[in-house]
Amino acid sequence: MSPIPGIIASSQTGGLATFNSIATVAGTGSSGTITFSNIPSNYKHLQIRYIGKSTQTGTAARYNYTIQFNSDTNANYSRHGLSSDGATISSSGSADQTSISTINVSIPNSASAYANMHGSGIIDIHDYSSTSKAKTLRAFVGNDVAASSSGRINLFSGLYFATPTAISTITITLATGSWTTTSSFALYGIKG
Amino acid sequence: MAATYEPIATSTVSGTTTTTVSFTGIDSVYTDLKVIVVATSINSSSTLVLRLNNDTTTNYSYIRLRGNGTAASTTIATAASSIPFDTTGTSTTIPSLYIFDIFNYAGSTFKPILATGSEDRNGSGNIWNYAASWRSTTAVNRVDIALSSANFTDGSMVTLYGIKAA
Repeated sequence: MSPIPGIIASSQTGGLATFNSIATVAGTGSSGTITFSNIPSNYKHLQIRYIGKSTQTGTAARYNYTIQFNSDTNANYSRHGLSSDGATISSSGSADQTSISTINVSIPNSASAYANMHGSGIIDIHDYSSTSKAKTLRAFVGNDVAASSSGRINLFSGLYFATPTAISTITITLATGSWTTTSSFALYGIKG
Repeated sequence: MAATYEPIATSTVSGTTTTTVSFTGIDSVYTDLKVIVVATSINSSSTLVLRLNNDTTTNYSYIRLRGNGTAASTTIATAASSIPFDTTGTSTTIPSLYIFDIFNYAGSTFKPILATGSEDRNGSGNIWNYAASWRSTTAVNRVDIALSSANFTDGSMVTLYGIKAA
């Protein structure tokens, strides 16, 4: 699922120098955008781990979000995905997109029915600093809201095929509402 | 100070009388927990489950996506007593791999969980993915990995990791 680079399992404390925390960005409650900028290029891969929730209230609903690199809003992305709501399995693919989007709604809103609930996810971006390769992304995300046909499990891959350059900025944009202040996105660098 | 990705504890089963591996007194200094299980059981068709804080009430819910090499299937449970990998259960000879990611485990909201299971038996087996939650606002201080109707075989291993964001 997520890269586990040669982990030594023991009862001893002492962390791994290969998996480093780069930055953590919390939602502000007034913006639907999370941005990681000035990402250092000295890692091999990146991983984003998050919990997320939309400030939108009213009827209980869940929303998509999009991922863009280097502020590129051109049609330089594609993605494929597999999803389930617990009743129906679906799959889709899209080419020449202006972002990589979740293929099915993954982020719950702030309706009372969804109190204390967040979506969660692990997003891996491989060889992100290469200047000769397109960038691949793999994500395992979901939200469980303890209600039939309302949660989602999403597995998706993405491709960023602009002229190869290192990824230095990652923008995650919520489709509806703002990221709550309880939303938190952590960016990690994995050394190779 | 906690490192970014740190093994908290490992339990390697000795003998064949262990049904539950427990990690207790988990420190709240990390952001997420990760549990990695590589296990076989002395009896086949035993379900491996995750429980938090020894909670056996119906505070768990999940959406499950499964493939068995022949068909894909999906299930939802809105009030479960654990997060289970069931149906065909653990093998007596071929290790199964299970990974649980527990997000914001020390926070004051419900705990989102993503889980995967790999049970390949060279001709049969399952691949599983779960989006789940433990609907408690209490910090996780205990993780149990248990078999529902069998014991772990000698050498089965469960490791708990802490992942700390900046």
